[in-house]
Amino acid sequence: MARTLFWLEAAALLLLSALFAHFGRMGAETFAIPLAVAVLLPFAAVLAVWPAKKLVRAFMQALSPGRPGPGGRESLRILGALADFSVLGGIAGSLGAARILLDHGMETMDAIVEFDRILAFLLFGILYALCVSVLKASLARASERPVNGDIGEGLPSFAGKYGLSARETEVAASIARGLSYKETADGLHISVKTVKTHITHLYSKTSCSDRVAFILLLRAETANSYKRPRDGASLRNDD
Amino acid sequence: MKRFFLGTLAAITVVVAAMWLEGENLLALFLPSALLITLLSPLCAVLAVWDLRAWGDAWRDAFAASPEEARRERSAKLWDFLEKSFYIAGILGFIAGAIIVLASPGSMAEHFSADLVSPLWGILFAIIARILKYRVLTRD
Repeated sequence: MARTLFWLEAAALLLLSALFAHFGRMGAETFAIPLAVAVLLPFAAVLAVWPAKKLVRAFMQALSPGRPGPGGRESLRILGALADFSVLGGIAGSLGAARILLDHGMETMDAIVEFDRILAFLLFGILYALCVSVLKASLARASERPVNGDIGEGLPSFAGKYGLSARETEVAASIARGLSYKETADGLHISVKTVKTHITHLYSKTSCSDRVAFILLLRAETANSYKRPRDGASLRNDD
Repeated sequence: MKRFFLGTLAAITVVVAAMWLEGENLLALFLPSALLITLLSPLCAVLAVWDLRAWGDAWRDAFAASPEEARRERSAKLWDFLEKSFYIAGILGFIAGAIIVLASPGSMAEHFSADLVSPLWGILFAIIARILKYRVLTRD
């Protein structure tokens, strides 16, 4: 549903651009420049923070069905940043357009007609931010959805058997879901260093030498409730 | 570092190019009074809260391969504060300009046009501060 909304809004963005040109009896530059600012500025700003491959991954995860794999949280942050930068770009563009309009003088009718340029920057900035926000919300919802990869019911007995603390149990659940150290830390509001410490304790208590051995043990011990992940929830660590 | 400069430059260039295509005289944007208010007052505000060392750490954390966990939160807060300060400075510059415009004779529209320079700089600087904040939060 959310993804359908995204495409509908993307179509609305293009339709509005065409309507602007048609009813305003103006050339493509009327909507092309505000649209370019709304789309290009956020991309450039996001690429100043994250590499392009992560940006592509964020879109792929948001547009593909099923639960996102590793990097889902980072993708959420990237899409959030895109939406924020888009609104800021829209405001900057409309301020610039207002400046030019005032500079040319407000007395003539032409100047009043050109007022739509100020609104166009704002409109496209907000509309593009809305499109990306729909994608972000869709991805967030997909991330929360329980999947077959969750170990769920078997985990408390596993924790009891090996004497795991509440926090260690949460970290074990994250590992089983294929989350990275960073994602686990963000999700539990602890540092990456603390996550690594918990993982060391987990391996020590369960006598496992590495992540693969631990996951295999967890699967075996929680076999009744655990089913193989099938929609993108990889067990690989992407750190 | 390279990605930051290229990305930030591209983001600013998009706005500048759009304004140039719309017919803006770009040199008119370099109003010393607007730049002074928009750039210096947030920087002073940051130094009123954090010392120079924290400011240096925040820069280092934005470009470090893996910033210290204990310091990361402080640096992110500093960039967040600076971003908000840029918005406030933009509004401040606009209000200060409006007071002068309303007290001056001549074309009101042209004066108000110059008055919008501060908010514009405020937004552009805020975009840079936000980029730096995201960099601090996402380096690992």
